[in-house]
Amino acid sequence: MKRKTFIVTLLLFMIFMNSSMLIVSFITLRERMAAERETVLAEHYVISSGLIGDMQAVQNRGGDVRESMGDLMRTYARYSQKRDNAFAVSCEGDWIWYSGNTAPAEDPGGLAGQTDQSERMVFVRRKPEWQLCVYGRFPAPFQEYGLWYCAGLSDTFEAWRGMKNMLFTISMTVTFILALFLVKFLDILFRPLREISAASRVIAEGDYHTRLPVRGKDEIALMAEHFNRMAEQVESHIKLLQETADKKQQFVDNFAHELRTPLTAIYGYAEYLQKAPAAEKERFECTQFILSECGRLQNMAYQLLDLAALRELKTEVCSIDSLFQRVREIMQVKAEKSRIALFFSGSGEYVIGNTELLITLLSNLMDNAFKASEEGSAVRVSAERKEDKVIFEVKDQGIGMTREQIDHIKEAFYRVDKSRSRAAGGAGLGLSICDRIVELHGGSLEFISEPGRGTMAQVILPGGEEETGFTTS
Amino acid sequence: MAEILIVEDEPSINELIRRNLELAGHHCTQIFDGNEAITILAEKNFDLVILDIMLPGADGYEVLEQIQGTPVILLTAKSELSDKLRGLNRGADDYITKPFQMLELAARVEALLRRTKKAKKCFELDNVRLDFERRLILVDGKPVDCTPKEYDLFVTLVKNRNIALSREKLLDLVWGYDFDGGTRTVDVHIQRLRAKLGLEERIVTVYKLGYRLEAPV
Repeated sequence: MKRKTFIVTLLLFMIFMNSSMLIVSFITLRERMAAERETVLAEHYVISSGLIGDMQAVQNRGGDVRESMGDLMRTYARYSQKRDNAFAVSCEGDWIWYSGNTAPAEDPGGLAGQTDQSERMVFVRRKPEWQLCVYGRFPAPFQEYGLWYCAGLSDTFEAWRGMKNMLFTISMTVTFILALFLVKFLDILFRPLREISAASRVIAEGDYHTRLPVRGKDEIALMAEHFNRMAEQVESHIKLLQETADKKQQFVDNFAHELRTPLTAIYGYAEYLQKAPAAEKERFECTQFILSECGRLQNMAYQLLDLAALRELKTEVCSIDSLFQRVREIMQVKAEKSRIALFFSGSGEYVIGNTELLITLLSNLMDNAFKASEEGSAVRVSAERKEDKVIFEVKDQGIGMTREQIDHIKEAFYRVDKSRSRAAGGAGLGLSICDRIVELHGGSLEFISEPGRGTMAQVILPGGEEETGFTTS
Repeated sequence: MAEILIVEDEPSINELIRRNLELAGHHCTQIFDGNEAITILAEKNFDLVILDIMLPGADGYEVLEQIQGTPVILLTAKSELSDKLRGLNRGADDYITKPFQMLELAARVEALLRRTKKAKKCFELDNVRLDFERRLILVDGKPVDCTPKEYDLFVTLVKNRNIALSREKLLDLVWGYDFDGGTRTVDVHIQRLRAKLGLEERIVTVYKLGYRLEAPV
């Protein structure tokens, strides 16, 4: 691209420069020729008028004009000897006198025939060298005579050639200087393109932090700006993908780890049963372990399926009263078993969401609250509307969590206290499911907790238009 | 007979390890929490500790720091090299990754006890006595004339007592992988051992599997 621009620009410049030089030199040549012609004509006139005067004087004296022509012409010949001129005088079709050693090549009769009294003939001779010749006949009474005057053009041509050469030298120098400037200029002009190319190569190699410097406000700057925006987009997308991939990897790692414990137990007890001499009681205990570990795997599989199935959301308007009613039905037995008092507060409100998923969400949160609670304590579930949001809270008076535990609590398979949680039959996926449900509803899930002071799980869901809930009731 | 401490929070796996070790005649103490492990280690001496890394309370590495002089086998769920190296660098003597096989656990425990001289120098069953140091089998105090392969076979059975060993496994352990003979060789040697040592009742044939030396725990 750069080379093409360079070559085309230089070529165009050379064509225009040289052709204008050529035109200038031809115009000059023509002007010089015109001037030369004037000079030659003037000189011819001076000589012929002088000669006519002399010839008249000779005739008046009674001398033979033709005979004395040699003497008459000598003075003129001497006058113009230094220049490379030539003279010749014709009379009745013959050259009667001529300067130099040879007569002019032209036929004087022919020349005389072509000119009349008043006109002089000017022509250019090319051989033996460039010369400008003038032939004019004398007026009466010497109409038989004619003067041929020839001035060499070599000086003129020499001067012209010199000028022409100088012009071309100037043209070449200017072209050369222009070429240097052009290289530098194109270099500057194409620098942003080079930078963009380099930056895109770096990005292509996987380094997405690269940005271009934006200078000025021209098209290139605009392009650099767009390029930067593109790079930013690419970087953020890649980062997002990376995060998602990391999360998935983390999930898979945790999952593999989580699978190992039941697998180890199942494999180990099966092998034990096969290879060791086990009595009836021991066989029962071993199979019991195998069964309970299988139950754990099954539980995990169901929860994973739940998590995987949470992809789309069918929403409806659900009354919080009936929601609480159903959650209470599900959780009451568990609460009684753990000797935990359950309290529900907040009524008459409506929330937009999927009833089944909201029940899963609340019962999972309550399940966690039970696990953290001691016997005899209370778990409170409340719902309230604040502006356009519906806020659910599940509060317990249990063991609480540290800041660090809260940060990890939503990760799949994370357990605050793994032995307790496993003994309670959890797979470590409950809060992952809750988080996913809240995310699908476009809400947020927060935990406020302090060790020893209990935990509050807060779900904030967008409530939709306030009227919607009441009109559809 | 060694005193072994098992520190593993999963009751099912803790139980599994205890049962396996008791087959070999060891005495086990079961602990399910890191802090409790540190407490009991300060009070009592053990010949070997089997330690899980992920524990409630103090984790396995913290417990490891409290253990001095007692050999430790780490129990890891992660098979990554960095986890193994971390444990080994902090003073663990060996590791087992979950899931593990009975023979592997038995072999590693046996090897570690032998290295720390805690393995018994002899084994007695009924009127048969196996002297590991002198490489002798004695019946009623009198040496029995047996071939080196018969001796090795009996040692293998004793070391993995109460665990059924398949004929193929016995071939591997006693004759080595490059042995070309069939599993009939094992049967023949077992018959001879039973006859020479009078252990027809003790070396039992396990259906479809192989042989097991049954010794009271």
